[in-house]
Amino acid sequence: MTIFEYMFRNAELIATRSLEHLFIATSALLLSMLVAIPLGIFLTRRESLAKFILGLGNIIMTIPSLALLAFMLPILGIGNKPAIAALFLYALMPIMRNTYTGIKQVQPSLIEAAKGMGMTDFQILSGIELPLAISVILAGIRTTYVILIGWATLAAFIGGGGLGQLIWAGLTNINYNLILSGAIPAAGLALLSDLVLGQLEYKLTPRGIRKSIKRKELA
Amino acid sequence: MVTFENVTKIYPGGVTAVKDMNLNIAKGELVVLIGPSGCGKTSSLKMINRLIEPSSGKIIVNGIDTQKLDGVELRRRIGYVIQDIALFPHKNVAGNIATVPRLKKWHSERIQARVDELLTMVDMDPALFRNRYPSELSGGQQQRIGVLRALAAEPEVLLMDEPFGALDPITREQLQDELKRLRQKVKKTIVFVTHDMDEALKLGDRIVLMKEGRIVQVDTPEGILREPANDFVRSFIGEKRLIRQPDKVMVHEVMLTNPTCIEADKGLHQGLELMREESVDSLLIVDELQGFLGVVEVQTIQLNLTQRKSLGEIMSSWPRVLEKDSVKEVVKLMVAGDLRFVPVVDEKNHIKGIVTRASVVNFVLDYMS
Repeated sequence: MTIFEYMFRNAELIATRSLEHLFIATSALLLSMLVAIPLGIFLTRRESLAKFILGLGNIIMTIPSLALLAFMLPILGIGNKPAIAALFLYALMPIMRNTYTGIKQVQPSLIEAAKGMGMTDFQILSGIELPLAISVILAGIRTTYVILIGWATLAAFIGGGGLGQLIWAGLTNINYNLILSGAIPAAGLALLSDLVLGQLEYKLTPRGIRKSIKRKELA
Repeated sequence: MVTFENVTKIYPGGVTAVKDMNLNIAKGELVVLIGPSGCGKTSSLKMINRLIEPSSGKIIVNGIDTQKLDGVELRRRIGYVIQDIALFPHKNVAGNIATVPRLKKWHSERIQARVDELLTMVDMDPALFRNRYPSELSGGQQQRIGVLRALAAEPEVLLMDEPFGALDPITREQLQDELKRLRQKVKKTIVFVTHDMDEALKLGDRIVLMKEGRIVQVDTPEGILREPANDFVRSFIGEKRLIRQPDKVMVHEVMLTNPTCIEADKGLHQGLELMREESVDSLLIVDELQGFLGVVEVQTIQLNLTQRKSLGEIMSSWPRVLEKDSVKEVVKLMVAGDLRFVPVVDEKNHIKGIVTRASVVNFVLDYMS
């Protein structure tokens, strides 16, 4: 029995796990955007705080992912909640940093011109800074999402479900087909989301700067 | 239209950028603020639209104390052009020009009509340029749009902060000419900052020369060139640009040094020999202390060559001028006596040099170029 036959036969199970998987990664991403983008914008207005907060974010990034998941267990119990919480924390930093640098790289003379013509602070942010930073912010979101899809496989270890559960079950039973029917869709989802978000990034980048932008990817 | 009343700006840290400035700019006037960097010209400009807040004093624009207006409201009434051009790269030409009209919530038809009107004014075909992005324009075109953007909402006053400083010399000249033409069509009050004296002289109705936060001189270009207030102004303008009356140019600036001199007791043949050596047709005759006595021309020597005479005996008396006499004086002498040259002496009658017709012409040519 080839792997494809195996996957076809278990399509329903794989689909369920894939949806669980996407749910974990996507909720973590959305929650993270909700916090990290405003925070990143706020930091561009509070330079003194920026160093401290961005440093703190870097520390979170150094905690091994599995360890972070384990930390969440006593607080949030078993299930997808601790998984979402852990991935949320991971996503904060790259999104926040890209928002911050995206806005910071807008030429100061543009801000001065905007202010000099009578734009309010909010109009400068929404009309000038965000449109010019959007490609950098979206690049951060895209890369983060791809990483989250990869890390979401670890959710299975704390009973969070997702494609990791198939891989985990396959590993314990030494069933390669089972491992692959978790791993292949996970990789596929990562590639697909990269492609879709890449298109979105292009569409949302204002036409006038599409040619000139240099993509600022995450390290 | 714009009035500075005892305006002072002290930056945090104690640097005084502008000290007790008083200036009255009339409606429709183009006033250039100029001076070396750090003289306070840009600070003064930015205090008008309150991008910089004055530490004390008042600035009145169109009869209203700027401190009594909301900063945002004030800036929408005042056009602003900066050196970096700073067109918004994500907006097309029309979008950039429409910035302030949109902030003022004009109707879209009115905005579109205004955009086309402005583009036509600088000979840029609206159909061709309206939808272009700044990255698709040349530097000169970009700054044209920058100026149009500032003019879009019919501001009462236009502030221009070294607007053409980043352009190449040819484009800069073109835009200066265009600004002059534009001013004939729309008579705007303009405050213009530059560090380029040629630009100031070309564009300004009046020039405000600043140094270390203070106004040194305010005058028309003509007035500044004719009567610079002090040495600083003179050096800032540059000696070459100064308009100098002929009676203010002194002889020593025009004279040639090292004229050919010979002592009076020398013989005629010696004189002829010296003329040949130096390729001159006249000699200045001096006593043993280099005091000027007279002139011998080659014809006179030839007439007397058969006789045994000294140069002193055949020389003719000749007018002379002092080093600190004016050139006007010399020219008068030359014209009156039909002289080809006039020797220059000091108070002790010692030869210092000679003014020839050629040296006067050379000086004038030098000065004019």
